[in-house]
Amino acid sequence: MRNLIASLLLSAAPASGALPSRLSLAADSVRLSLARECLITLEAFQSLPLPVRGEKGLRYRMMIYDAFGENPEDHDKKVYVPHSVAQFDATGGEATCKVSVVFPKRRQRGGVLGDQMSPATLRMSREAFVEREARFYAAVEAAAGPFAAGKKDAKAAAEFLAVFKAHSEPALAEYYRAMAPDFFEWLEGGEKK
Amino acid sequence: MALRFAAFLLAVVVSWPVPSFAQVEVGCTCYCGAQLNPPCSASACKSACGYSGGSGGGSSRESGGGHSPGEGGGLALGGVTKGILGVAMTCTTLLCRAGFLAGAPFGLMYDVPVWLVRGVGYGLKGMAQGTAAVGRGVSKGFKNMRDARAASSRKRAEKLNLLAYTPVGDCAATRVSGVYHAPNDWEDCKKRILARQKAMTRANPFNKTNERWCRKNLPLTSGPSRYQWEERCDPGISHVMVEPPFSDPLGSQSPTTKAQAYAGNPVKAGSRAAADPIATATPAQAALAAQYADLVRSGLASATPSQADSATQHADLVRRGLAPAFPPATDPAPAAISPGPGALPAQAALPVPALRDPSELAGLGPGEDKAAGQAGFDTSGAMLGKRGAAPESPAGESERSAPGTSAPAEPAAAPRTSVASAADPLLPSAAAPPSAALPGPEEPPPSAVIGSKPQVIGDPQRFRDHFSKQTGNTCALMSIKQILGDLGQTVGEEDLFWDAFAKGFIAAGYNCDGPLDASCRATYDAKTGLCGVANKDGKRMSVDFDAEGDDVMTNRKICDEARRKGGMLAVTVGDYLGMRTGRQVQNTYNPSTAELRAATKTDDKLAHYLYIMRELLPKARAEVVESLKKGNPVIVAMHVGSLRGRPERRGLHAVLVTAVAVDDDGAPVGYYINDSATYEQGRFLNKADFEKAWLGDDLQRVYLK
Repeated sequence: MRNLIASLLLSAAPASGALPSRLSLAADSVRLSLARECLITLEAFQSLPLPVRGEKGLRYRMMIYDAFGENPEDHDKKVYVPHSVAQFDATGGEATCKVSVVFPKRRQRGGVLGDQMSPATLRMSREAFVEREARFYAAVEAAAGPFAAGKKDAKAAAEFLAVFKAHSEPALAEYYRAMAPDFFEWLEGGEKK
Repeated sequence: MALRFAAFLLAVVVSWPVPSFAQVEVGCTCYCGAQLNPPCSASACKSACGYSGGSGGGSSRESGGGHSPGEGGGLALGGVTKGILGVAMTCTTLLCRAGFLAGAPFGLMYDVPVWLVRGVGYGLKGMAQGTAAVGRGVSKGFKNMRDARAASSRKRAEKLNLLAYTPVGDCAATRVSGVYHAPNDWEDCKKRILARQKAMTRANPFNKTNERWCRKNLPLTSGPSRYQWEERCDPGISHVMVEPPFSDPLGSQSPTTKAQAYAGNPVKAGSRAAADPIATATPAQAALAAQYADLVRSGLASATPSQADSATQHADLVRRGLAPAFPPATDPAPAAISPGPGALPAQAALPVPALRDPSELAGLGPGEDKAAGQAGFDTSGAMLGKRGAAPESPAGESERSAPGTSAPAEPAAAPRTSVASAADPLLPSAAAPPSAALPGPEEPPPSAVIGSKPQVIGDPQRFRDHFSKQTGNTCALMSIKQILGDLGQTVGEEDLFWDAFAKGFIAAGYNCDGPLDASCRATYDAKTGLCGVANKDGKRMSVDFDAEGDDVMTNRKICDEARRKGGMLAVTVGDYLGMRTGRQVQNTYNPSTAELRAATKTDDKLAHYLYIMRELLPKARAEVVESLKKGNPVIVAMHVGSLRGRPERRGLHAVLVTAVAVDDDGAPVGYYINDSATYEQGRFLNKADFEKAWLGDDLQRVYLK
């Protein structure tokens, strides 16, 4: 089987091309497998996945939310309050929506949180955006290991924060913190070895 | 004198009814069976039987009688005087009785303050009760007033929502018969559409920009831009009765001819020109139209690609003679029509004025010209672009990709990315982490493997009468709408949405503010027209109030939000299509992670991905082709970022595949899709772009069997 996979990989990947990250594939597969449980419609958006420490080890969480523009094809969309949080392991297994996350209280249940993409992101080309997304997944996978082990890794944390701030949804900043508080504590150096 | 008084007193005392000895001995039996010594008064019986008479708690016996205040029983309750008199009456001797009577004034001294306090207390109590009654009355008045206001507010909201969700109507419907609206009709229609826009903005603040656009870009009374304007400003109208826009790449065989007829030569109903626009064309235009008609007859008709990359691809295919050629719709400039086998001959490339060609303005009064320009349209009604957002229409899209138009057109929000390249089309084009990059053989571009004669399976134009622009998360529904329309079930987007919502095919996630309330969802009751929120067990959540104090379950706020947010799950697309058509539906997508694990014997997601790419994609591709061969279009879900070629978060979008271009071997080289979000009908996507976006989803395909 290993040979088969290796041959598949070799035959599939172009010289200048690249394969998607495993974590992004896992997140996509979770989105599809939890569609019914988490009410993930076709048009719903998924946030970037962040690591958390679960009872059974490292897990990832991502929010499911809706975003709208004035018109369906509009680029500058506004984000609604996430209605679900999915949790899964690095292979996309153990996926569940029954995650206890306390989001910031809001005066109204529904309502718009803000922009889905920053002005700088809106000006990006598709290629640049995909490239930055790939860098994000590389950074989060690099940071997840030390975080899960409880080790401090300033370089990985700094790299992650840089790409995360640029690539995440501006309107969901508080929600990301609520979703993975331990990880942000680790990122900000509050956790010592 | 003293003797007389003493005698009188004696006589009174003697004549006072004193119980006989026998009575004292026998006593009496109360209703509860208690035996009492005389005198047998009712109050004594009540006291003996434990009847408190509502005078307070505690045993009446223990409290020394427990009489009601009027009966003056207890010493502590102001009953001293009465007690003294009572005892005096029980005396059997005159001396005893006189002694107790003499003590009566002392009892009064003790009782009077109590009586005063009690009186004041009762007074206060009565006053409090009165005040409370008044308060209740006032409160009830306020409540009634609030209810009345709420009802009024609700009525206003319902009216507003009705206005927002109900299209004004098809003001341009009479174009079908070639009769044009009188100006006063148009003014009325315009006013109603603008009122609807205002209502839509109140229902959804995001609509503000659109409302502004609609106000700023009012079209002329007649002209093709009216269709586009109505399309954008009065969404949801059924286009069944409406002619396609004259700039529609698929809707008009000779757009300029129609535009001229519109601009300067309004035709009457039933006239030949109304029925056959080619009849009024110039010879060159007629030749162009005839050439195009030949292409249609020969099965080569298809859509004009609207994206730059697809246009390049398509032009390349045309040059090679491998793909059908089309006259560009909005700018049929000669350069855009590439000669080649099966393509248009040289005379077909005669310059034909575009809808926005300045020459169209020639011969018109300066005022008319200026007025049209200021409104953002030329005199034929074609949009000059660049006032606000570009029109969401095929014309707008075509203009964006067509060079040489007279007015600068808005480019797409972000540059389109890929043209067919040597890279594997199924892999992301961007660089990934170095660890993930692997060397491998390059795949030739799709055009290199195409045979000499293209063949189009399916008809890109077949669903155009039922194709319209979506106004919410209704991409899947809009695809279903086209299929239903083709089967004779003409239905509007709104009707379809609320029908699907009422029947549980629409998922609208709702945040219930609880940490584990992830599965809250909006529900809709078609009977009442109201929405609610149910938790994961289907139980209706408690009533909530909005800032105005209205019950959110009884207004349409949840409905409004559900309309904006609600969409279909991958699984419900097929279910709903099957329910509406009564036919068997195939709804297939990739297997679950567990099944992929079993198939590949590994947890590696990359191996799963490659397995999907190499094993499942060819099968899915073959299914699409097979279904189109049978005449059934296919709904596919795609990664929206890959589909649009711009930065997009991870979300999906359903489109309808209406046709596929295949090479000699039957292998697909490109697909024709109807995209209701961008209002692109018959958009051509090369195989690479299509399958990259399709793989971004899980290769979902839904079709009638």
